[in-house]
Amino acid sequence: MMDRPSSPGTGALTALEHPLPPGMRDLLPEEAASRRDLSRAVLERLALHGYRLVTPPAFELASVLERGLGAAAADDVLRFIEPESGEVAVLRPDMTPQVARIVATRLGDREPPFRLAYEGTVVRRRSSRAKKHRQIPQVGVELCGVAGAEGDLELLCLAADALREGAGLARFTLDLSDAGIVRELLAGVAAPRAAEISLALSRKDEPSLVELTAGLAEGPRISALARLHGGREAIVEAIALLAGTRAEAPASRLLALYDAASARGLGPHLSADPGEVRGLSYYTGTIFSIYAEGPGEPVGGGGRYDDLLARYGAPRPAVGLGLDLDALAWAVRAATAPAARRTGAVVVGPDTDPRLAELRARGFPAVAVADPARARAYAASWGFAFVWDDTAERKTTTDDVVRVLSSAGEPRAADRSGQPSADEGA
Amino acid sequence: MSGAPPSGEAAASPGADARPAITIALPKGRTLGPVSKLFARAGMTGDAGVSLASALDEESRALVRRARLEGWLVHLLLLKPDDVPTYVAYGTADLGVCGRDVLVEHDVDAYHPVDLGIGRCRLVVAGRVGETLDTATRMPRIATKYPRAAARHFARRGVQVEIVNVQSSVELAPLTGLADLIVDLVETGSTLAQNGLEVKEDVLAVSTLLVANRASYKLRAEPVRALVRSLRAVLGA
Repeated sequence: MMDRPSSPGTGALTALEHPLPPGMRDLLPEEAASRRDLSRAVLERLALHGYRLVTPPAFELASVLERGLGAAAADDVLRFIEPESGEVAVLRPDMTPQVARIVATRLGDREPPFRLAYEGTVVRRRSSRAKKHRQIPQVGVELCGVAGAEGDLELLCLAADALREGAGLARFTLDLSDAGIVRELLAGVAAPRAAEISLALSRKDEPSLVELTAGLAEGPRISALARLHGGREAIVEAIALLAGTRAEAPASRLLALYDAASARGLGPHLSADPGEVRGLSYYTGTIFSIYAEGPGEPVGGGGRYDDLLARYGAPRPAVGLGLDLDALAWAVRAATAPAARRTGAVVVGPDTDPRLAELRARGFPAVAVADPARARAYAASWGFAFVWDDTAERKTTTDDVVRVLSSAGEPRAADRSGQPSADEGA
Repeated sequence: MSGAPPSGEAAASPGADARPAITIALPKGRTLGPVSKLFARAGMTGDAGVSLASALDEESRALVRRARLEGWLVHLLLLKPDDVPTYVAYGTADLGVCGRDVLVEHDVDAYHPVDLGIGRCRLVVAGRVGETLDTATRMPRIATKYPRAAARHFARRGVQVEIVNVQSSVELAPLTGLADLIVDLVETGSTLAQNGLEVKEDVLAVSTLLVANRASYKLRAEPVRALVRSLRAVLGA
């Protein structure tokens, strides 16, 4: 029933290679546990703000999902023929269109606004980043039915609260922009050229911008946008730059949001980049990216997409936020000293030992190992906090064990104190 | 992770010395001299009173060099040119110096806020002097160190080609019959002329750019923008 433990070194030599597709990976117990804790902490925080969890499916019909994706994002999806129906299906590259579909088609009888949260893994055919991860675990929210600054502000405050109180991240930056600025400046420009200009602008590539916008009335303004980044003053400069154009209104809207967010105490976390364009083409107004030290890429982002629900037949204003859990976990690791997580007990005894049930009833993981020496090795290998090895002379009470395990639940406290642990005597 | 970027505290206060305020990836080789001169004119010096040129001495084998910019500690990484965008894309280096040819070939997603005006040249399609290829009747073979940029260029023009990836002496390919055309960098065209080749089409104007990791550009805005500002001032851009 039980395998003997493999001797160190032989495992690596005898294991066959079973490669994963590029960009896919496993989370082993330690990382899986800390990842689940992170997503749970964030989701619980979102729930406290009234955001209710929905779980969309892993793949959908291309004809339905791609209705909600921009042309650029459509290049990014993994498609396959769904054998049952023979129709083309796509693995979701983004959950926002799914939630939009749910709101538009399934929740029509509920009282607006719609405050929905989601958690899941999205899959992209290729990442635009150097990093080759194609499966991206996300947690996010969508707020549908609240237009304009009121909804935007709710989402920004929610993002900050989820990061601070949920993820425990004190230092982060919400970088604000408005998709309307570039959209208005490029109105009337042929789509392929507009796409090239957007790409150059997204890279703040001035020489290319000057070349690509040559002859456009708004060319010099578009090129100048590439230099505007900073705090409130960057938006004020943008408004001056865009005065008299149709892009002035979105720039002023951005300033109003920046000021409102500052008034709500977000000031230290804000920056502004009026020339920023985000990849997903469904954004219509405010857009934002969230940065924190560590991952070298955004830990999240979002924006307003007032046209998306109309594509599913129920026009409503909406704004959303998505957090990339891989990047967020990296940022959390970079900000707080990593702590060894140990939890639960290995009970030395048969698997009918009543102590197992007692611990489980108190909410602690418990596993039986008959042999005391193997119990220590097992506990060390799998991160159990305690080996409950009673002898005739020495008996530990359940209360004592629970006390040890409770303090082990707070990893930093357990690391520093000299409490008994699985390593004791091992 | 020892290569992880430093914390924001170091970036915020020029006095904090343990970690650099920013890390810059620089290409070893012939652009290093001009880049070093340009950065010196923009106010960067070596650490501890040393000149930037001696901090970047190529004879030294140190992989990380220390420099100062307006009181901030700067780490300079000397890398092979092709590795610069990798360090920047991952945020291990906040900034990098890199040719547009490399950025386009690797489709690097990073900001390119300043054209340093160094190493100006062109990526071109070249072939044997006087020869015109009928691409409608035969699929031409293209030898290049830039397979992706070349493939994109011909795809955009609706020409189907076979790309042959070569690493050195690209000019040799049309002479020996390995390929009909090459896609390569041309500065003056004299190497092409010596080998009986001529420019057929332009693909891309190339120069050396300052590239910035997106997150670093937002999170370490102070030192990053200080360098960007003074480089622009020196370059009159």
